Amino acid sequence: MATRIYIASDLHAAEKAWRKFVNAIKANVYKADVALLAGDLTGKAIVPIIERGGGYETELLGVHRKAKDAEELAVLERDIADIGFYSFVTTDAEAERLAGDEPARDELLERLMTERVHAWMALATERLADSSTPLYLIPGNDDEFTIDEALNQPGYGPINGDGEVLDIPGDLQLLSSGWSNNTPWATPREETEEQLFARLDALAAQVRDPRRAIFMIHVPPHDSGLDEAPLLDENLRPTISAGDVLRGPVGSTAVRQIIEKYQPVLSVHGHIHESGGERKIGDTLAINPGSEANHGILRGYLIDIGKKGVELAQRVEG
Amino acid sequence: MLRRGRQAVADNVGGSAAEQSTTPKLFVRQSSGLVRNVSVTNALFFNVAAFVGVGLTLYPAFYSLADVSMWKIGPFSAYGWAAIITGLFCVLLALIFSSLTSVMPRSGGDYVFTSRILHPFLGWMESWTLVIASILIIAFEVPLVLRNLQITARIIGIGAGGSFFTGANSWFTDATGQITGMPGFIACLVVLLGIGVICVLPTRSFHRVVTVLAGFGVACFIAMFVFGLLFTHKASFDANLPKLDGGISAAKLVAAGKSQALISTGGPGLISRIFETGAFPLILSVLLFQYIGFQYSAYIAGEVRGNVRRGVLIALLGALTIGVLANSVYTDVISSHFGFGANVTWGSNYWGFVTKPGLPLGQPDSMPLMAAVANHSLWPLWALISLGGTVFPFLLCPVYINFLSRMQLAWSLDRQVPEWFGRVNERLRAPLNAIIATLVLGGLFLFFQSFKDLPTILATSDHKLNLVSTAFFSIAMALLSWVLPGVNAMLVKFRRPDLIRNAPFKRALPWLGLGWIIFPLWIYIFAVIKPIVNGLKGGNALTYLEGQGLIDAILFYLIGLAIYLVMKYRSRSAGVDAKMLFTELPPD
Repeated sequence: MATRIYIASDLHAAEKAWRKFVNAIKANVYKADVALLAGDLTGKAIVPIIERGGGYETELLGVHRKAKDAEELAVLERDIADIGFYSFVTTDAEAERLAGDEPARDELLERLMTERVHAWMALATERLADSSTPLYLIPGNDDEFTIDEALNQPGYGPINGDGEVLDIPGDLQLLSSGWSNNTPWATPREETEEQLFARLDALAAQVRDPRRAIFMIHVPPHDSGLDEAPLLDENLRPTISAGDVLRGPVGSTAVRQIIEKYQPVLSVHGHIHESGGERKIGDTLAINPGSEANHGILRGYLIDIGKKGVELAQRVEG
Repeated sequence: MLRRGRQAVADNVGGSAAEQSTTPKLFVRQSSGLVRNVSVTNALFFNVAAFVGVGLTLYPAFYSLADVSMWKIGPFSAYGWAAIITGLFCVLLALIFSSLTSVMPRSGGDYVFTSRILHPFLGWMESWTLVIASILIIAFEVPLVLRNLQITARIIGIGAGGSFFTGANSWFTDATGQITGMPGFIACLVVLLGIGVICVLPTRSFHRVVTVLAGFGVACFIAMFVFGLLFTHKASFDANLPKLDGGISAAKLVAAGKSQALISTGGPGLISRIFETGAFPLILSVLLFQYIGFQYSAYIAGEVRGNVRRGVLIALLGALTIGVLANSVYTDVISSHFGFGANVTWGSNYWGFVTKPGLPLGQPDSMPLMAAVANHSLWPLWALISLGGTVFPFLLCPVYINFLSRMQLAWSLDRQVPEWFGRVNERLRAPLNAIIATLVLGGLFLFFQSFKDLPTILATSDHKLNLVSTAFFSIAMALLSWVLPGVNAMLVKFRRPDLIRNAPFKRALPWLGLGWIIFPLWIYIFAVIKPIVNGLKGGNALTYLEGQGLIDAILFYLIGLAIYLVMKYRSRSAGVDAKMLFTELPPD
C-alpha cells in the first residue's frame, strides 16, 4: 500500500488558501497519509483601513472599498486577508505618520505576521485534532525569524520540520529546509550557494536511505523547469520583449547538487509560484506545486510512494 | 518568493492623484521581492503580432471571403461596419476575459476557465477546437506568406522590370497558377520550417525576432496608410491597371461585380442590412475569423498587474481598437481610394467565386500592389511595405504556436493529454513535443491544401482543402471558443463564487456574458447553421459540407471527443482521480 503525500506551498498569508488546505486535510479529501507545506507562510503588505465619518475606507487592488459598520468591516478585513495582505484599522493621521516611519511599519508588519501565523496554527490544531494525517511545514526565505516562535510553540498540531530530518508515516524520512540561495530582495533566510550546500549536506548525511527520503527544500533546483521566474533588469523590473515577460532559471545550484548527490525518492519545493510542475532529476521526482494562493486557489500535488518509489504524481487544486 | 502579487502591490502604491488624496497608501514590505508592474504597452505590442496576419496588405481581399454581396453605406463598407459591430461586442468579451484572467491568470486561458467553471470536458473541447482552428489559420496564412512574396516581386517587376520579377506569379505555383501541388507544398514546408526555427529559438532570441519583425510590420502599416493616400491617385490606378494586366480595367471589374451581384447598389438602409439574417452574419463570421487572435491577447491581461481594471482596460481595449481601426478605417479608406467596387470583384476573383473578368495581375488586391500600379516611381517603398505584409503572417504563426504550446502544457498538467506531450524541454524551456505536434498538424493541413488526396467522404468535389474551406473550417471549429466565455461569465457566480469574490466587474459578469453570447449565437445560427440547413436541402449536401470544410470540422470534433475518452480511461487505469483535480475545497 503506497503512502500518499499531499503537498502545497507558498500560501503567503492568504487566509482562504490556508483554510482550504486545512479543510482538505480535515475532510481527507485527497486520502492523504501525510501533508506537507513547503514554506513562505507570511505576506508582503499591509492595507490600512481608515476610520472616517463613522465608517471605514480603504483601497484594495485599485478598488475603493467602504464598510459602514462592524459587520461590513469584518467582510472587508477577510477580503484583504484572503489575498494575503494584512490590515489594521487606523486614522488618517496615524496612516500618514506610518507612511513616513519605516521602522514603525516593519514593527507593525512583524506583529501582524506573527499574529496570523499564531491564528493559523491555532486553527489547524483545532480543526485537525481528530485527523490522522500529520501536517509538516517549514518557513520559507520570505518568512521573518519572528514567526518561528509561533511555529515551534508547544501545543500546536502542525510540526515545524525546518532544519531537521524526521521520521514520517510510510517508513519515510523528511529532510526539511526553508533556506534559499541569495535573491535580489535580501530576504531573511537566504545565503550563498556554498553555505546552502553545506547546510543541506549536513542534513542529508543524517538520512538513513535516500530512496526512502523526501527532501522538502523551499527553493527548487537550478535550471530544472521548476524555477522559471521573470528575468529582472538592473532596476528589478521584469525584462520584457515583444509584450511578453522573459523568464529564466533562478533556482539553487546547491539544491540541484544535493539532489544529484543523494537522489532522494522525492524532492518538494516552492518559492517560484509561476513555475509549478514535476521533473525528474536522475532518479528523483522533483515537484513544485506552484502557488495562486493570493487568488484564493490552492494548488497542490498528490504523490503516492510505494515500496519501489513514486507510483503516482497528480496535480490538484481546490 | 511571490512575484505577481508583488507587482499588484507596487502598482497599487501609485494610483491616480485623486485616489491618493482620498485613500490610504499600501504599506509594502522592504524585502518584498516586488517586481514592478508589466507595461501595458508591451502587451499591446504582442497583440498586434497576434491578430493582424495578412491583413496589413490584404484586408480588402477579405471583402469577398464570405461570397456575399458587398455594400457601402456612409464611410464604411459592410466589412467595415461588421468590424465595428464585432469590435463593440468584443468589448463585452474583453471585459469578461479581463475579469476572469484577473482571478485566474494562468497559461491555458479559456481551457482553465471553462474546465474550472463548467466542466473539464467542455474545457477540453473548447481548447481542442480552438487549437485546431488556430492551426488552420496557420495553414491559411502560410500560402499567403508566399503570395505576398510573389506580390513583392511583382511590385519590383512593375517598377524595375526584369523577367525574374515580372514572372513571379509562377513562383511556387502549379499549372493552375495556385500555390498548390508539389511546388506550393514544398514552398509552404520551407515557410513552416522557418516558423519552426523561430519557435524553438531560446526565449530571448525568440522575443528579439518577434519584436524586430513586429516593429517592421507596424511601420509598414503606417507607411501604407500615409504614403498610400498621399502619393497615389485613383485616376493613375485606373489608367495603369489595364496596361499591366492584359486589359482588365477597374471599370470592367466594377461592371462585372455589379452584373454578378457582388456589389450591392441601392437597397435597404444600414439598420435593416445589419439585422438581416442572410449575408451580413456571414460577413460578421469573417470578422470573427479575423479577430481570433484577440483571445490570445486577452490572456495577457493576467500579466498586467496593479490597478487591474485600469491595466486590463488599456491592454484589451487598446488591442481591440487597433483591430477595429485596421479592419474598418484603414481597409475602407484605402480600398475606396483605389475603387471600392474594383476591390470587391478583384477579391472575389482571387477566392475563386467568380472567374470573369479574370484576376488582375494574377494576384489578390494587395494594397501596396495597387499603389505600385498607381505610382511606379515609388516601387521601392511599395515593395518594402509588401515585404511587411509578408512578415506579418509569418510572424503570426510562431506567436500562435507559442500561445498554443502554453495551452497544451495546461492540458498535460491536467492529464488531458499524455504527460510527455507537454513536457518542457530543458534546453529550450518550451514544450517541444507540443510545438512539433502543432507544426506537423499545420503541415498536414498544408498537404491537403496542396494535393487532391482527401478521401471522398471528406471531399467529394476536389478532394482537397482550399483557402476558403480552410477559413470556414476554422470558423466552425471556433464555435465553442466564442460561445463558452459568455456561458462562463453567466455561470461563474453560481459555479465558483469563491474564485470571483474580488474580481473586477464581478456583479456585471452575468450580464456581460448574456450580452456577449447573443453575438456569436446570432452569427453561428445565421452564418453556419442556417447555410448548412439550406445546403442540406439543396440536394448536394455532401458537396456543400465538403466545400465549406464542415465535414472536416465534424471529424475534428469527434477526434477531440475520442481523445478525451481515451485519456479518461488511461488516467483511471493509472489510478489518477480526475475529480480530485477540480475539487472545490470549502475554506470555512
